[in-house]
Amino acid sequence: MVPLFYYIIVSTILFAIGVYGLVSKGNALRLLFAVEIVINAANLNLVAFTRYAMQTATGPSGQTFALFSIAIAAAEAAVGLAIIVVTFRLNKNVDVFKLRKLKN
Amino acid sequence: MYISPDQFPLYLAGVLAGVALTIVLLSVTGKRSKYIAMGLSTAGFAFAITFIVLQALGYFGTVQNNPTSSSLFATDWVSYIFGVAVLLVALLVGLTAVDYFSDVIGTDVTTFYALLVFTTIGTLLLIFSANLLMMFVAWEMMSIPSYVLTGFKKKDPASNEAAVKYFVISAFSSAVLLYGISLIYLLTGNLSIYQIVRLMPNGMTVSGMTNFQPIGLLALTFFVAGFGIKLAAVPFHMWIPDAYQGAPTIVSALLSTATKGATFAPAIRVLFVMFSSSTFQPDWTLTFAVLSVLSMTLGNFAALTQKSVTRILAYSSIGQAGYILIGVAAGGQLGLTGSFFHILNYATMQSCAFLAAALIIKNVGSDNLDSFNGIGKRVAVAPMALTLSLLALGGFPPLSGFWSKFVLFLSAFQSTSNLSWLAIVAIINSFVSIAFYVRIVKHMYLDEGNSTTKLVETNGFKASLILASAIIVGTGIYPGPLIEFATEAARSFMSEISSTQLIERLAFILHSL
Amino acid sequence: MIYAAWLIWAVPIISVPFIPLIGMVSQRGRNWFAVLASALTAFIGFYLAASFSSGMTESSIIWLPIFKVPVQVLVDGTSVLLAAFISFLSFLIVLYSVGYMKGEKGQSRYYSLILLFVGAMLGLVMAGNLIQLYFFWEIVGICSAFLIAFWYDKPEARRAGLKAFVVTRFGDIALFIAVLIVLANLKTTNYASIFSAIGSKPFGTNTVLLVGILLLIGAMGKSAQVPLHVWLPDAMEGPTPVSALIHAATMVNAGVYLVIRMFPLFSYSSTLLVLVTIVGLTSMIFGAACAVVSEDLKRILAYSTISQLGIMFASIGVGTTLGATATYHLISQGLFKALAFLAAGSVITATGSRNVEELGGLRKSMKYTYIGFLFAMLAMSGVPPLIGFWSKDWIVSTALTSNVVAAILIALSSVLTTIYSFRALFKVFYGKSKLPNEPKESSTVMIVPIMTLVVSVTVGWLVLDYQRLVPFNITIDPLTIGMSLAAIASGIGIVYVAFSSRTAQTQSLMGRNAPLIALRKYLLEGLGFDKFYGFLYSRIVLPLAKTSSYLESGWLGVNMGLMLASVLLIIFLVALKVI
Repeated sequence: MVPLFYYIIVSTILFAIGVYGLVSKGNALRLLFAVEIVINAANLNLVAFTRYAMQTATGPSGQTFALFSIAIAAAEAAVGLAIIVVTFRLNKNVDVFKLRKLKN
Repeated sequence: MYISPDQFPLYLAGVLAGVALTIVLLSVTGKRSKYIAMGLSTAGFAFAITFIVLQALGYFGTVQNNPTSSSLFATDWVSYIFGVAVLLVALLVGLTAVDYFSDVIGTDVTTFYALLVFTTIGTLLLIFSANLLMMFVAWEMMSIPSYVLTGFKKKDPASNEAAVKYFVISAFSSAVLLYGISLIYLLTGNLSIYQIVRLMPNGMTVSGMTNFQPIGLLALTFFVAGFGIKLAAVPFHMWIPDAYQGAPTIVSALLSTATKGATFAPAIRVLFVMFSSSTFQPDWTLTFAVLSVLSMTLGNFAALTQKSVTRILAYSSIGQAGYILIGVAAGGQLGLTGSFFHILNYATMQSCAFLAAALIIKNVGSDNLDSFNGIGKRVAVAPMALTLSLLALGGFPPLSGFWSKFVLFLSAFQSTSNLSWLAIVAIINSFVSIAFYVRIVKHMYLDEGNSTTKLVETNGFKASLILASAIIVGTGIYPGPLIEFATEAARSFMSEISSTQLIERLAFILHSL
Repeated sequence: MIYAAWLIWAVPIISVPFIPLIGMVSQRGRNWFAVLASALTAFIGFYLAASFSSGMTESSIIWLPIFKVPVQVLVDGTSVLLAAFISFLSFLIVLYSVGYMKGEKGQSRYYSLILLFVGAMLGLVMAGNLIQLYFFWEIVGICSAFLIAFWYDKPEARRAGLKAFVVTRFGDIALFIAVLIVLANLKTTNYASIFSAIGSKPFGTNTVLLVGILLLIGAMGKSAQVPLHVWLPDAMEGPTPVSALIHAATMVNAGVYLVIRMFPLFSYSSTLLVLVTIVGLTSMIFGAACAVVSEDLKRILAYSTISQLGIMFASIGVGTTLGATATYHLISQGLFKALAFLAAGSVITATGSRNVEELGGLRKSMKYTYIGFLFAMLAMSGVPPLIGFWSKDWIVSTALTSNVVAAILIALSSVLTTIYSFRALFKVFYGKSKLPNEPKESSTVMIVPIMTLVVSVTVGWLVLDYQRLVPFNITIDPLTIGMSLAAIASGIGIVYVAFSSRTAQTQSLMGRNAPLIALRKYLLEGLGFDKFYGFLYSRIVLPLAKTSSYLESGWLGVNMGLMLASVLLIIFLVALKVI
């Protein structure tokens, strides 16, 4: 069995990649991807921990959770994409750094 | 009729889901359907409020459930109070939506009502949830429709900009929350908030880790960040002004009160119950006190120089989050009472302010302070309601905001951890906040406008604003019952905490035997 | 009788919503309804005073169960006396308003606010605990600010309203903190419970000192004492009946009332009493000096109010009579100052000017107004046997026995008081008229209150001496009488020489003497307090505001980065403490 530690490392790296993307990228689609990566990092955690927590936990609730969160993330992405499509229609690009009308 | 308190939220959600689906079906039919949708959603919210009140009064059998059981829901006074507040805001917003969108091209108001009811269902479930899985699902049920509501004016770039910013940051907050939940799951292998608390100190970890503290702290920070983003506490507040300013103003009313207030219920469940074991106790009084001071100061001072009314209200919402956090920092029964009471009042005050501003903005076509000049002579109800709600937000007697601030500041003075400085900073802040609240009033009533034509006040807006103003003034003159409810909520919540801590201690003794 | 104590403030408040409703039907009906409501209040006030026997009665209904805070009325000599005084005066002034406000727009707003003010002011006086007092304290503040800005077409009125709102708030927060400290320590804010707890464990010397200082700051804000006085001279932009009722006779006295009511607390610590005295004496001299140079008739009266309130504070601080001297002077000042304002209002409606340099010679054309103003000025200077003489000389006599410095300063300030009183009188009513046409005497509804007050300042002291509510045993030293008569005589002499007979010489003296010119300029600017507060605002508040709003850059990436940085910071901080 692969030690739990490896999963934690992978998930931490995924989390870091997602956060890096959120901070540095201006393209709204990339931001959406970055959020998905963070969510998947958490999902990976949940699945891996369930595998190891079966001795103490009452049931595979972590994996159930992962299934829920995948479905919800899909719904979220759908709404997010719709908003980004509207952005593109209005501005002819999807660069969030150019979205600064409200501040001024 | 008997309803098991474990299942009570499901009945509530079921009724509202029925309403929402009916509205969705309606949206494919005729043009008048928006009025039917308004009637249906209003009736649904009113019914849900009655339902909660009856449940709280014990008409359906047991008033509260035992949250330490493995139920998905905690049906207790905290839930009732927040539930009524959220439904009230949804009701107020629902009454105004038809009028607000009447001249916006390319919107289907019937859909707006469907989304409004859907997000309210999510909010209610979030308030009631006592299980991290339920909490996350409800969190997303609340958030996803609200993204669409924020960008509801499809042709308006401001609305879209607000939606993009709100979406990215809020999605990030759910992701962070999920990560935090996964860490808690790593530590305990359980998802029920009231059971986790007794598993935590025993360090029942999967990999036999004995020192769970760093991971627990990491999880705590993720929770604080996730909740903080929705609660609009500094330093997680940067999206708030843009989102509230760009969103349709009645949606800002919903976001700033229902969404924000409702986030508070799971937040205190997680922070006060789940992390209540002694290893996590020591320092978050200070952490929350600092967050509170930052929120108040930044929110109130930034509002001083703004030119846009919605932006001022957005900053005011940040400042008010700071006041709410005083109660969390002070802790204890009085602190929680103050926080609950202030959230109740804040819900009516802030939504009344946003709704009144919405009516004026819709009529004059701009949210600039200067375009509010002389509004007092052109309409009757909206400026009056805005004045009342702003004075209430500023904490003037005899309006509701005075009493809740009073309880909050008192709780800081009485707190065991010597938070008098926090109360004094808060009082000075509330002095500063008067400046920008009164500035809006001055523009409306005292300054000369460039037009004196009368504006139209539609009945939906009037009804909603008068209802909200009546609550603000009524609570201000006789705050007794509401304070009692808030106290009851705090008391029952504290006893829940102590009972879980008792279990935790028992478990610890058993474990060590 | 106890019902009267509830009704006296409930009647005006309940009648507030009827004002705009009746106003929709009939303008006249609304005005006379307001008069009727205030007459009823005054009647209840007199009934209360007549039926009061002695001692102290409390009556309460539950308001906030969790803090055990009731709405309560406290019926004792001081509260009943002041309630009767306030309700009497507000009746006269509402009656006067009917004439003064004739033809103005927004009268429904005016009468609603006035009645709300009267109700809240009476509630404040009758309150039995600090929370209730604070509640009404804020309401009178809001009414006052809205009434100052009543003529919102004038930018000065708007600014003055906002200024009053903000500056008095500064005192209010101090009072609020004091209330919270008392409640946090004692779990009650009932006056009697506070007094019985003074000095014992949770309410020891330091706490009492702190609470006392905060209460004093609160009182200074409301009673316009230096350095929180800046709002009162500007508040004169409001309608004159408002200035008479709120900014001369009632609301500004709330601060003095608070200190009188809390006297057992203040007298516990001698430091507190010294502070009260110093505040009072400073304001007394400052107000009188500014009143001497001011050219605006109403501003003269406003500065004089600051000065007279200072005398009250000083007399409390001298502290031999448990605040009775201050109570007496409060009523006396309320009467003659209200009279002065009503007469000034009559002048302003007739001539349309407030500048004393532009007025003159009104003695013949406005006889009744002249008599009213004359009596007000005589009473203010302390000419016997008017009411001002008794109140001021009693204060000086009591001060002589305990604090000679204060007594001498108060007596000396009488010189200044006489100077500004008679200067105003001479400039407005004597000399040659500088007006283009002859002004007309005001209408009867305005003259009746003025004449009533003339009678009151003349014989009021008899009523005050023989009433049973607060037994004033006035004892006046012959030495004091001599001192004050000398002060009055020298004051009148200076005014006569400077402004009446030798105007030309005075002007050339003023023109040559550089320090005198500079002093006059500074005094006209109110010694630069306004500039100082403006400086504080632009150097402290504005930079903070700019920095705060700068943090929201609107760039999503920057926002995310800052949030992340703060998460890391929180982790770091928590880790430092715990691990």
